Amino acid sequence: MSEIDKNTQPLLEITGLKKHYPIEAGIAKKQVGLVKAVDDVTLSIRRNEVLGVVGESGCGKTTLGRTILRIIEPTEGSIKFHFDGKEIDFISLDKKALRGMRRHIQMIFQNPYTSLNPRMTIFDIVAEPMRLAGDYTEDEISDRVRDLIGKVGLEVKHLNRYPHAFSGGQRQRIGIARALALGPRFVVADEAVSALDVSIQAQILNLLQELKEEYDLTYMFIAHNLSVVEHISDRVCVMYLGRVAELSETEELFYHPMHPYTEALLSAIPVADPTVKNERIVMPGEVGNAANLPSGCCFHPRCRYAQECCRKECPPLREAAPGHFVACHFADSLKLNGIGELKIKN
Amino acid sequence: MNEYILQVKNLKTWFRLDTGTLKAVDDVTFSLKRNETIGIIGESGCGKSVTAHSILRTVQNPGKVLGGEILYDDGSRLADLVNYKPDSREMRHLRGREISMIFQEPMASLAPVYTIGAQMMEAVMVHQDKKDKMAAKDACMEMLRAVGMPDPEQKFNSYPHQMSGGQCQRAMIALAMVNRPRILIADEPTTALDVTVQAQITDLMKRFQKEYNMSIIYITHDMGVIAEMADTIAVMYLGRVVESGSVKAIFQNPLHPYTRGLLKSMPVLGNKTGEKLNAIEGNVPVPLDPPEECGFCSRCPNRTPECGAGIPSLKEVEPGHLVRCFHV
Repeated sequence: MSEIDKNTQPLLEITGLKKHYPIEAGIAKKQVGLVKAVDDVTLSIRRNEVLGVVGESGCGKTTLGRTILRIIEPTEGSIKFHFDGKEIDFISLDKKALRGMRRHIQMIFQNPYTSLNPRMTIFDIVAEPMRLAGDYTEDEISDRVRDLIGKVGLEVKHLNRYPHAFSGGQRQRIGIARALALGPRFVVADEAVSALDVSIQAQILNLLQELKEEYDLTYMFIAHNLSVVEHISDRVCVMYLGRVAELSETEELFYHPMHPYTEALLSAIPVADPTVKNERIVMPGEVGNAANLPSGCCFHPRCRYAQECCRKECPPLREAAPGHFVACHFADSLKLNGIGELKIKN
Repeated sequence: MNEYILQVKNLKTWFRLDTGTLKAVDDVTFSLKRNETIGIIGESGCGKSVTAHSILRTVQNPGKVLGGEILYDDGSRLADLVNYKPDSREMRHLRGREISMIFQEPMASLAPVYTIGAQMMEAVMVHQDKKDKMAAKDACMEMLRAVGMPDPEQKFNSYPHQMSGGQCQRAMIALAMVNRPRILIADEPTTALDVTVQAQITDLMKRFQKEYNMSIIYITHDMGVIAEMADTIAVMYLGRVVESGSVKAIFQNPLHPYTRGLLKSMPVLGNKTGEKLNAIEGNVPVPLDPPEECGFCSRCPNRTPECGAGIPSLKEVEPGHLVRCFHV
């Protein structure tokens, strides 16, 4: 089994990453506001690690994933990859160099029904990245496609069919084969199992884990289902309104959360056991507006521990315990409940 | 008065297509007690939504309810909904007034060109004898407040696209609840929502159930939600109920291999072992002219030659706990 390398340099380092969208109005397209979709995100991902990213819809988790791959150009910040001891400043790459880098970083998309071209056969879909990369002969491509399609649990006889002939789970397998075609090192899986049924979801989660072992992959696993994230991730990053609220080892985060938002999220998870349930922590209101962020800590209008300073000052992300990062003024003094304490007998 | 408000017996809803007969619902049996919640659980294509539409008699062409009974007890008499025509007076009287439905994907299920207020007013006025607009509006506003809609006066005049997913689902619940139905059918009401909003919506439904003495049919594929919401559970696979019983029986003593597989295949919070999940092999087949065999036998880990020989019947293993499997 490939071990997470904690000592050497991380595979990916993101510092102060921002993606702001201007809101324009009128004929002159005057800028009247700013949507801070991703705002000052700093994190690193270690080799062979699975970093789970969770948060409610609109918290910027998808934008973060896409910005890291430069599918969306970031507004500010730095993204650095460390491959074979070499540091690559990803932001400064020009178009050509970026294409060369793309083979190392790939993405698995959320919706298996819209992310495959309906007019291409499965063979062509999986072969396309290799054809674009240009350094494979047709024979090599053919061999590799056959190999990949078997690895993801489909059969060679499926290769000449079109996407419509497959179920959601099978399509997601095709999307995974395509993402792995060029032998990437880092894969962003954006809600890769959200659209799937429970039994199929388990198959795909198992497949992702097998492939990770086999190809030495590092995942950024974006999802909103906390049980799934707990299952697959080594570390988890909780996002709220474009910012990192908390980042820590999975077990630590679920059992000893330090951010009130994480605690509230955990309390909302339904427990699949009729004899126990979670003590619900009600967050008043809805997720704030990224175009008009609340002052100070952006979570304060919904936080049950909020005090005067939370309205004024935005707490920075700091290491409150070894390896446990949190953006809350009172992380040290609050005694928050993890999934252990939240459970009550029904 | 009957203990059960709704009893569905051997319901069959088939779709006759050019390519064959799609047996979407083929022998579904369950009963719903007064003021209780039954959870119908299953994966996409198992027929759970078609079952809901069959009860309301809103199955789209070419689908037809071809057999079975849907016995609805309104407190004074027992009516078999299968005998009513979908567009009959009796059915229109029931639909939206005595039996209401909340749909999946709130954004897509509300009419985009009418305000929330207009859609709610329509539901009230249709079922009202004296067409009293003022009273109808009062009823709508009261319900919008009851579902916890922020700024209800303004939302009454808003269109669905002006609201968030959670707000749309609240509007949908208000719309379904405005006539105080006896039965609420909720078809995956929280699947498209965040966990935090999901928790608010399920709490809201439980509160309404108590306040208005309502029975709920809760359709979902999420075992976690069902454990919190339901009193009894019916597990569906390929158009049939394969196991039904109390929540405790299903979760603590699942007997059908499919139910066991479902329970084992989902990651359980706090049980991180680093081990693989027990996925159910294969895919859900399409019930197009299905062979006369146990529907689950193509994916079942305990399959024997006997399983391909016929369709097992729903047997009562212990009081109230029914299983459709040859080996139980």
